[in-house]
Amino acid sequence: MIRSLLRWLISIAKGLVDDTIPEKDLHAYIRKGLVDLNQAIDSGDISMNHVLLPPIIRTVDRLHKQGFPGIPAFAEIPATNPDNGGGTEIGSIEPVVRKGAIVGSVIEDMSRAVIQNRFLSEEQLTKMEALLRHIEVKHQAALRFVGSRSEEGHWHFAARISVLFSSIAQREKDYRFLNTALKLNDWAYRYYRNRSDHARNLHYLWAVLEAEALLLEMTA
Amino acid sequence: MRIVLFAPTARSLYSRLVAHALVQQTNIELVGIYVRRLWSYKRIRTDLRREGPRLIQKIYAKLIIPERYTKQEENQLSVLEDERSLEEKNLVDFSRGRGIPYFRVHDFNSEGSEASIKDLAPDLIVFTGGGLIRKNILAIPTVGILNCHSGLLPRYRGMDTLEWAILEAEDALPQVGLTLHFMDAGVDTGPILRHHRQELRPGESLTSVRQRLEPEMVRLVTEGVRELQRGGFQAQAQKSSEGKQYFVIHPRLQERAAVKLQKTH
Repeated sequence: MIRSLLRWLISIAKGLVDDTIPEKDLHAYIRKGLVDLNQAIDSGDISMNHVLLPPIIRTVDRLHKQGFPGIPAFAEIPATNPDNGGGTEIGSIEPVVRKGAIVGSVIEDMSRAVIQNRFLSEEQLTKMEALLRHIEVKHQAALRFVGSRSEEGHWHFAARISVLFSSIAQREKDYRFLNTALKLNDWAYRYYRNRSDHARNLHYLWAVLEAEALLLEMTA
Repeated sequence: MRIVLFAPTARSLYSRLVAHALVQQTNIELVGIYVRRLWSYKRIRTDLRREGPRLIQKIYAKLIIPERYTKQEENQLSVLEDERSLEEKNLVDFSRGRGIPYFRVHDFNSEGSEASIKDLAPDLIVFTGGGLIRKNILAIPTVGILNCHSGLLPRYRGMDTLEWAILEAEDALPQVGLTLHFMDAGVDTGPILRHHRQELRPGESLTSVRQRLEPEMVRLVTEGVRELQRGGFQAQAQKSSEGKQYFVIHPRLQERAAVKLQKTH
């Protein structure tokens, strides 16, 4: 009797501190997000020239190749970025963590570089390693950003970091960055799951797509 | 050789087995046992931040109903406990029965701990868990602070190294084992004394690999202390570029590692 009560209390306590999102919920979010995105493109809510559409479509293709079920087909959208600076390195960047806060502008620069398929230098990888450690040690308390005080801005940057980390994990074959990307996506899920503003959700949708595609590829 | 033992809880079986092994050795004097207070807000906050929901499971399995934990699967530390006829079920009784000073502290690194450890003037501190050790404590023992890390250093530093080693193994066999090393201010970056490499058996689970490693930790620490006493060790410094620091693994990656382990061999 006492043990049953303890087991029950433990399961409640675990539920309170557990911020892991079940795989089926994330996969359902992807399916719904892509259906909504298709509709938003058809209705003109999202432009065919939106900068995130080519990388999202590239990632959807990767999910298709991994046999991810239930993904809708996309309309004719160019799958490569017209401003592609592929193959070139990004220039020098500022420190990514300053006085315990993440510098949002650096994340934006790095994120743009990922969209353009550009490489990270050793120096930038070292800075990303520092960001990885910052997030893993402080968890959600690490998500304080220089240049953003709103909740929306906060989760927007978290999604951009997740994409950045998935990209590094893929290029460097470093599971640690995928690990943190998965955690960031779980934390941001509760904010994004019921939001219907497709344009504002695109970064998070891309973040989840990237991490799920990579998880399938790296653990196939 | 004067030795102080650091333990994460008074009931830790690993700590009790190490303490028991130390007092069996000649020319070794266990001069103090330090145990961290379990129900401290600071500790729970830090552990919860590091371990997440797994901490709750750990408390449930190891502290609330420990007998269920030990009998649930073939727990080889319990086998070692029976073999060595450990009578005391906690370090309080163990120290009382042998007249060893016992300290229950909030933090090993506190000023109070520092002052009392200095009074004991240890040559060596044997660490069996309980958080990071700061410079003020690292500087006290003349020989150093000995730790057995559950992973092969320098490559796998930090947490959940078994899972990370399995995930990273690709087509090769995962590099699984233990490392006896001196602690320094970094995370598992101190000089290496000895490795124990573990062969994997077909169809093993993550739990069974860990359970087979636990008795080896006791042996490695005990042998290490004996070897240090004889002066027979040459510690090898680690280069930071030789390894990475790993963090708590996401449950979905852990599941993948478990599946991959089942398919190994």
